[in-house]
Amino acid sequence: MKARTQTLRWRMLSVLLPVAFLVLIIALLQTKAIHQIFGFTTAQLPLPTQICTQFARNLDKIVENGWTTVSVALLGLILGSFLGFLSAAIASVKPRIFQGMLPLLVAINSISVVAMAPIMNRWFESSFCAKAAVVTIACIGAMSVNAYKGMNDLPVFSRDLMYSYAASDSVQFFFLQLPNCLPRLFVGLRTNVVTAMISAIISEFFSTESQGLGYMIKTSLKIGNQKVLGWAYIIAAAAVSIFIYFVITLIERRALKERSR
Amino acid sequence: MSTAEISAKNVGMVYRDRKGQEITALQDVSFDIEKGEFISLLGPSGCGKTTLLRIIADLLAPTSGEISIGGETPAQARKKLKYGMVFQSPVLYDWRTVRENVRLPLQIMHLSRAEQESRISEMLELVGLTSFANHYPKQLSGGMQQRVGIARALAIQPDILLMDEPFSALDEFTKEKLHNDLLHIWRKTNKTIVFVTHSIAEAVYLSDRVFVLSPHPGRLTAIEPITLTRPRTDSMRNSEQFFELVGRIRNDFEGGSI
Repeated sequence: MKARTQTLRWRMLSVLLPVAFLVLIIALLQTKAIHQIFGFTTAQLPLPTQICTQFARNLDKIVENGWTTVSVALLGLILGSFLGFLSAAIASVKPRIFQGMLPLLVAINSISVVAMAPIMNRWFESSFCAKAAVVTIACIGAMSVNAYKGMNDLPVFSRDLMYSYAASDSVQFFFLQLPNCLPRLFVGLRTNVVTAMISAIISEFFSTESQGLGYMIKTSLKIGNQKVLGWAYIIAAAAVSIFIYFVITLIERRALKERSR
Repeated sequence: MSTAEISAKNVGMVYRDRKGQEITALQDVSFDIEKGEFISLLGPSGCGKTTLLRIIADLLAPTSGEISIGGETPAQARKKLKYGMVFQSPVLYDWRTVRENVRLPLQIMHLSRAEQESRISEMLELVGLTSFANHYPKQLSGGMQQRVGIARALAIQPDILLMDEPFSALDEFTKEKLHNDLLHIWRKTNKTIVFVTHSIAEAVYLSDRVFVLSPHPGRLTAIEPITLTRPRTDSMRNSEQFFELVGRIRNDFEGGSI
């Protein structure tokens, strides 16, 4: 019983602390304490209430542009994570193929989104596809590395055990390597949520189409009387990231429930 | 033609280390193990006892000599699932319950669902874990985990149970209880058991014969028959005969100590 109340207390703290911290930051901004410390004007760093007003006034535009970005980010997240997983699976069953793929993976991972976005614009006619392609490529690496680790950091003797059952490569993959890599898949997914949102937003900077959170942030921040709106878009982008991250964490908790008992 | 269940003839194992120097892990090991025998491979680290077990299990190939498992090669025996393996750690999958862990090899063997269920309940009954069937490995003590490992090894109905220091990570009290459990299981199932250990007392208490292995190079220096009556009971651990056997085996090691 005592242990249970203690874990309950920890859980409440783990929610309360971040909330308290957020409230503190907002208070420091609203009272202009931060402005005074760094010598900012409200034009450089708008007050939370100003941002909220703009947010409410432009809600429909924010939702519309937000959805554009989220759909790009989600599609790229799914495709990229899948490709990363696939490369790890191939690598685990046929290590030689992976050795050939490895330099390519490293090369792809080291191309920055800034370079990739204009290239994809030339490759794809639809700007949606071009943006999704950028996100996809950005998401391959983290998932590949994590899935590969999960498929190959196996409990000691577990391969010997499978060998003693005369298990084929595919049996070994589906009964041992795949379930063993599940926790790592979620690590890869969570990493990729942030990567996907950032690369979707940056690819919108370069997009031929004038929509999406990235495009709106870029243009709003440039125009004098729309700077506050730019901040509203930034907040929206952050909120969406946190939301997707939260959803994945929930799924993760469900999926890994039995292992953490 | 010998009737031995496991027969080794001049088995040798030579490794090459990184500098290219040859290291003899096993030299000229020969023995016969009869069906239903309980054999311990006893020796200090570096004597090649685990290497020898892995050669029998077809996890390693010897560099000289040969092993015969009832007339077959270890590879043939392994592919016919004649070996049940129990390792130093229980190797349970923490995403599977006790029941599902025991089911694992049965799924790989494509047994019918009914056959799986009947074997699982039989095995869990045998190791006394029926009421823990739906627990996850992390909810069990080390001793219970290793009992699940034994149940899983026996579920495939192997001829031979190969055990590599299965109780070395457990405390003394749990270990002694598991000794009795293992002997009970052995009596009920009539398996041939090859048991690797570095504990003289453990080897004496469990075995019909103790194979004494010495290091540098690893070789079989003595085979000691254990004359204690069956069934073994805890009181035997304090008997004069027991201490005598322990003392004699200690003397088998060069210099009288390990």
